[in-house]
Amino acid sequence: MISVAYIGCGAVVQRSHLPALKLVDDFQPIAFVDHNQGRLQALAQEYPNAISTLDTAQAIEVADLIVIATPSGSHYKLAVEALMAGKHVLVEKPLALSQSQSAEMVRLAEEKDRLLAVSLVRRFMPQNRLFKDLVGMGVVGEIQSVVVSEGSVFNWPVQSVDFYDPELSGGGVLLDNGAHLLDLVLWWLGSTSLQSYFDDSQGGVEAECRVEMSMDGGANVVVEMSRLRKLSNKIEIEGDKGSLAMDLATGQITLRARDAQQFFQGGVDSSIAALTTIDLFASQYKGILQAISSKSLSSSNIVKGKESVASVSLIEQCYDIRQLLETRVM
Amino acid sequence: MVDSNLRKNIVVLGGAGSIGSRLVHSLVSHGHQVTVVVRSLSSAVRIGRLAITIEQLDLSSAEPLQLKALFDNQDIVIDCSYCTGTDRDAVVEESRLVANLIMQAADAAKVEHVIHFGTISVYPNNGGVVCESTSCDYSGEVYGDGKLAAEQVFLDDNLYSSSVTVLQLPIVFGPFMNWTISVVNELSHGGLIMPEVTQGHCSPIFVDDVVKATETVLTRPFQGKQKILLSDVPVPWSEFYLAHAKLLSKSRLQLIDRKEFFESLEREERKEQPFNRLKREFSDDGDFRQLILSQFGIRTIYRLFKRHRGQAEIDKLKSSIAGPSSIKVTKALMSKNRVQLFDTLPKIQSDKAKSILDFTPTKFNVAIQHTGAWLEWARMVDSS
Repeated sequence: MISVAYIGCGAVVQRSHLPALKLVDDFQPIAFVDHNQGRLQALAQEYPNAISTLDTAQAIEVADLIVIATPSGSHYKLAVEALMAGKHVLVEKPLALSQSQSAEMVRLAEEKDRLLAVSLVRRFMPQNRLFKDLVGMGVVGEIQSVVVSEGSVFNWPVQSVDFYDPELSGGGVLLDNGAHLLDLVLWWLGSTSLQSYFDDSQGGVEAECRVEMSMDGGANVVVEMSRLRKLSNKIEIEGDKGSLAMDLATGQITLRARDAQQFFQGGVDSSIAALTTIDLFASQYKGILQAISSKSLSSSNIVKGKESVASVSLIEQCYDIRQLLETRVM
Repeated sequence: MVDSNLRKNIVVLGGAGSIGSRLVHSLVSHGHQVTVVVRSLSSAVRIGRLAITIEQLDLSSAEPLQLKALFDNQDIVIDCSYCTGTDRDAVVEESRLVANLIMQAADAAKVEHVIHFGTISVYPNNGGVVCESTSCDYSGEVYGDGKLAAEQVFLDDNLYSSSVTVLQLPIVFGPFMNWTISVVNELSHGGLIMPEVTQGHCSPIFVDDVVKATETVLTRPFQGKQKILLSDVPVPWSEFYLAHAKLLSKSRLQLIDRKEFFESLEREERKEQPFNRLKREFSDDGDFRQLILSQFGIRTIYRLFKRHRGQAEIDKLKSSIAGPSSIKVTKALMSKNRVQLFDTLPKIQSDKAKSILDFTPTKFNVAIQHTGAWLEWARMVDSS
């Protein structure tokens, strides 16, 4: 039985981690750390055998696996503390705020021979895996342009004002949604170089952003994200032999040959595509179990820390070269 | 940017709402120091982009000292909040309680001025003419009665000493405004049929004019209590809808003779709608469904269906329940409640906004153009 300590017990822990853990044997919540007393009391009632505490060190000491789900700005410090104590660590996305922090965490995990995983569960969605295979097969020929757009009116149950504090949260939609979306884009396309970045922050955390990159072959990649409006929620890749698109919400994939009719529209089986977030988190816990049991600390159902360093670095670079996104109509 | 001596410390209650967010944005751009109090942190995403302080507090359960601590060192309190609910008496009670709480804290913290957003809904809905001196009475309508209860506390000279301006708002439209969104939604999915003539009055005001008027109040020293009705030049309801319909890629509005409209409405009411059939099919099928229905209501179940099964399956379900004609996309008749509301809204006849605030509203067609640009940005313009 692997004992788990949760540091930060907000919405993602209550909506995804804990329900997923109920679907997987071999894990036992043993400690909860949060600054919100009401939340701790509720968890203490539901999990009477676990300790609820404000003391991070105490929680780290008693558990095998430490799940870090605090605001992004504290991931690095807490992960280092847990790894130094010789514990396995699962960090909510993003892994950290900078390339140097991420690299240090990865180095420490290797040195201590402990698992460092990051909760990038969208990589486990079957449609995203199929899309990666299709891109890898070169079905559109040489890629000429990529447009990715993801946005909807924000409705995540934010539980702390820290969410809007750039110092504590580390950023807005780029860091929060981009941790997933840019990770997927880099996973699908391979390396890219950042050209420019725009967002609408005026001293707070951005709600809209636009990332402009180029691929090694010269193709332009544009990624737009929004917390204020519904965007097309698609990735569209144009190549010299055709185009490939996926609806990010439904997982439907469309492949068209250049100058020809559409010749494929479909996706993974709808029962698989309909996997819930809880199912994905449950797969991740199974992956953690496999990884911890193996010498290589690997599994196809986890994303190891070092695999997410590139997207963390991209986000860091974006903020470094940030320009104001003019929103005339706001 | 205002002169440094005119910069204020301002706390905005309910500042994450549709009007509040736009106001906060403008106040910050003019150099004011703004603290925003919100009930739900999720709704603060628009103002979360700005250099402001955000505090989470549910005013209905706040302690006087909590609010006083927030008001300390503030010059101005702007109250955009309102109480929600379906129980009229509870909403009235809560509105009164919150208004008292705000005024107690404002007096204790010695703020210069409290600005409260009121509504035209406090006046009699009889299609007549109203101005600030028109007497108000409780009508039984939840929103209007709640706002009236609050307004009476804010404007009572004998209760509290802080100066108060109540800005009474009519229909507010424009970017992010519920009126614009609901009208566009009505016009979408096939379009809307409405009577070309309604008997009440439409006095729409552009959201940026509300912001402008509020910022003008900040610059006019005032002692005491006052209320000011804001209004634009009235336009017929059909013109208000037509202006929005023109923003969509295809005209989605059909204006018909009033008598013909009500006859169509009657015919429609006699037919069993797919939605009602769905409700009946659910209700007839055993105790469990009855129980679920009694707990959640058919609308919630319908929304869950929609979320989990997707629109295509819902259309198929509708088709199987009501026959293929039910999924034909046709213009819908405006709801009876909506027409009844439009028939009774009063005409605003007041020059107080002009004389006190030098209020000059944006021309309707210009405001509609701005609204169109926003709809395009928000990708609410249906190209089908």
